[in-house]
Amino acid sequence: MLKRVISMMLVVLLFTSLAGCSDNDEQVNTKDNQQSEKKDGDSAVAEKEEEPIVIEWMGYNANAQPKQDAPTILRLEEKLNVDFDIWQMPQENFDEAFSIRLAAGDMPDVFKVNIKDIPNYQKQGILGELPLETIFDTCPTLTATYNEYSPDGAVWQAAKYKGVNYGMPMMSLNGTYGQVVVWRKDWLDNIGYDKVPETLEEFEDALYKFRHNDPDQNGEKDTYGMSDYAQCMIYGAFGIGNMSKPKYAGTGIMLNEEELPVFSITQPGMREALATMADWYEKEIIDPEFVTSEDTSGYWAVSEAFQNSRIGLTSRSFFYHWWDDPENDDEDAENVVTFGVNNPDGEYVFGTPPVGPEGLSGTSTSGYLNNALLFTTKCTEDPRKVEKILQMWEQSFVGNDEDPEMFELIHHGIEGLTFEYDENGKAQTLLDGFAPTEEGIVFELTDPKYELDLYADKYAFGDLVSPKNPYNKVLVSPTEEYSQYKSDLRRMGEEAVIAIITGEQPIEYYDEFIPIFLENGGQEVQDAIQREWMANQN
Amino acid sequence: MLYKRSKDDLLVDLFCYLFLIILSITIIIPFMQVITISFSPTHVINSYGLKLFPTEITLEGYKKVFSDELIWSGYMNTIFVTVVGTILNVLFSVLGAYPLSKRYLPYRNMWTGLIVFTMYFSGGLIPSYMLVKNLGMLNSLTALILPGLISAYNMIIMRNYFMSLPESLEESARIDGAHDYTILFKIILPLSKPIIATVSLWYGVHHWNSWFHSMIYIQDRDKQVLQYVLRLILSEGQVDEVGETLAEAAAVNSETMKMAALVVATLPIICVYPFIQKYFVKGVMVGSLKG
Repeated sequence: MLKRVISMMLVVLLFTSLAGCSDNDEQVNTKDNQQSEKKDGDSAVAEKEEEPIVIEWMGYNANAQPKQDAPTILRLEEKLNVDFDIWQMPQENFDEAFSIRLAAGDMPDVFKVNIKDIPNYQKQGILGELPLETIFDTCPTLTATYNEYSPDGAVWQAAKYKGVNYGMPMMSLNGTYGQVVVWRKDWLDNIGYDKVPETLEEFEDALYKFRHNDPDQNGEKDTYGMSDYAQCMIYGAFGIGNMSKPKYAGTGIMLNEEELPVFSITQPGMREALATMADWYEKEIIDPEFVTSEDTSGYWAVSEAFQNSRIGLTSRSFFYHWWDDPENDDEDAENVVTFGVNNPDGEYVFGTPPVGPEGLSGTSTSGYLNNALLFTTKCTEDPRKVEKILQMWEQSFVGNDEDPEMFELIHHGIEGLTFEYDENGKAQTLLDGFAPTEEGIVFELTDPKYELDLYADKYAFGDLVSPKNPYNKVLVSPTEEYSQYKSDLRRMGEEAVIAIITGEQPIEYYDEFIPIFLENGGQEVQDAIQREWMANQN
Repeated sequence: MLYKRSKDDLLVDLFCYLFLIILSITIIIPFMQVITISFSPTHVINSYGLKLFPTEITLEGYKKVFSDELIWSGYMNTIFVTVVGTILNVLFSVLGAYPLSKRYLPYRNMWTGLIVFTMYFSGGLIPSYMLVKNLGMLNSLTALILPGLISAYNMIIMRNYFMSLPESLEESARIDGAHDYTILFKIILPLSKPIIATVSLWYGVHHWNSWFHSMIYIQDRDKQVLQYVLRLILSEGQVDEVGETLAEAAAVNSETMKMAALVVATLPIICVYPFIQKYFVKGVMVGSLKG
């Protein structure tokens, strides 16, 4: 008996220790086989070093897990003579998982972050300097494109911190488009409006009738004017831009008259906007359920309240969430499909944000600079790595015809396998959902020129329906103070805004609230943000 | 003479059953909602109201789930970790708890104290990560089994159970010439089915539901466990992402698919439950000493 037990335990131990050895060797072998089977197609590879350089890559949105041995990745490795080690990270707990690995001494060569996190990583000492001159010299096409789409040169400031550039800024075309303003056209018709409301007074009048004049003509008083997604525009009419849902009211940041970043909630204009909404709430224009948001389930850009004819005005989503493909109904956005099924007789129409009493008007944009691909010290120590990565990006930009295959690989993968060209010569992906990420489309650096061409019809639609937004998004570096107080400020801001709008507190409460807000971290964070801001301006 | 139930008894019964029925409903309704959504097309999901029964049936969600290779590899990994992990957990917990239950173990209270100490103080996440990394267990399923092989809490529960067994059992076996291993495996364990079942279920459910270790220790997509894959699917599109590309905005999985994934991932563990439940109900000393 004793022997049997001991031998059993030994067997178990043996198995677990064997399982501990990962199957890296296997992977390498399959790679070798595939590489030896493939013929060297072209001589794009400048020079064959003896050993492929290992580049650890986290330069993509972690919304899917790429396959290490996807054909696209293997082909790229072969062309560049590198061995990409792709980091698999979760999207939801990205920061947590990433910081654990960094703390344990692991780091990738390149990783993608939101620009406002650069200071945190810089303080950890993992960022390596990538002089802008290096980019200008290695990537002439890319530089020209960036300069074209960012005439003021702001793009070259995006990956900088305290005067040192740490990586490659990314441009987001979508970020230049304002949130769309969507009205129920049939409701407007029913209350006698033949155009979309433009001024704040017209908004109030139309929305009031949406509540009280039975716009859906079902004989019941079951409709409201708006809920929380449209509140952003009301703030915009009083000069407070990019003020999103109540949830984020406490941390919205804008520039004051002195061009310094301040908390939007403390600014003049905020009080009038809140007074207006409190008045509207009293007139039953605003759906009382705005407190829990009009998006009750699923994708954030789909407003269930609007889709179910509870409210007649919504916003916060962007033009591509309302994309109605003229040729192919399968390509329609979820909003369009759902609206068609839920409201077969209904119609929607795009409008503009309301113009306030002082002529101010605007909504929210996410800004065209949000993310950057940062280079770590591990990467910048080895100039060959930097060179290879920059060349790869350079060759993926429109106007650089050095290597057409590289262009395809970076943007779409392999023809016939992951994409094909349609009759207009435009690349159409053959993959659904996040499959492109899984199949190795993870090295892409957004080329605005190419995106505009590829999705020309979508962007034309975007130009047509997206309102112009004069309020630029203020990009500030979050400081330690911000991280420390963020959740408190959000809670305070949300509670105060909701209390005032719902009439639980009179508008005078706002005057009491602001000093409290500033005392409890608001002032401290604002001062810290302004210090960083000044330091970065020079 | 037959015992007649009084009105009070009836009232108590009525109240108990009513309470239990309401409790069951609160548990069943959300689950019905999930199942219904997993069969419904998007426009039904985006409409208001409780969705207890499907009005329109679509299998789109399940088609997507079944064609998702990550879910299947996640399944295999979870089953492996749950089965192998639980067996090892229970084995080692028994081997740890049994000696601690013996009063003649030297310095017994010190050992117990040391183990209890670990329940309150631990090195924290980053040292654990570095330990796993330096032991070469990163990116292998052993990292999900070996750390936390013994849960101190479960082991102490087991030890208390073993202590409640009469010592005369061990003594009589010794007189018959049995060794420690024989006593443990032939006499004590058969008497400990209820506690073993209970602790196995705890360990098993813990393995089935855990995703955090998979997130930090596992890098290959085909080695991730089911719950983690499920989290990846469910968290899609809930938060408005800054700077999403057109392709990404179009790629979000529908609620139908998310709920289908949820159903597929939850059903097995629900099916297992009734078979283990009887052990909870059974008394402690079934089949051993009568007296």
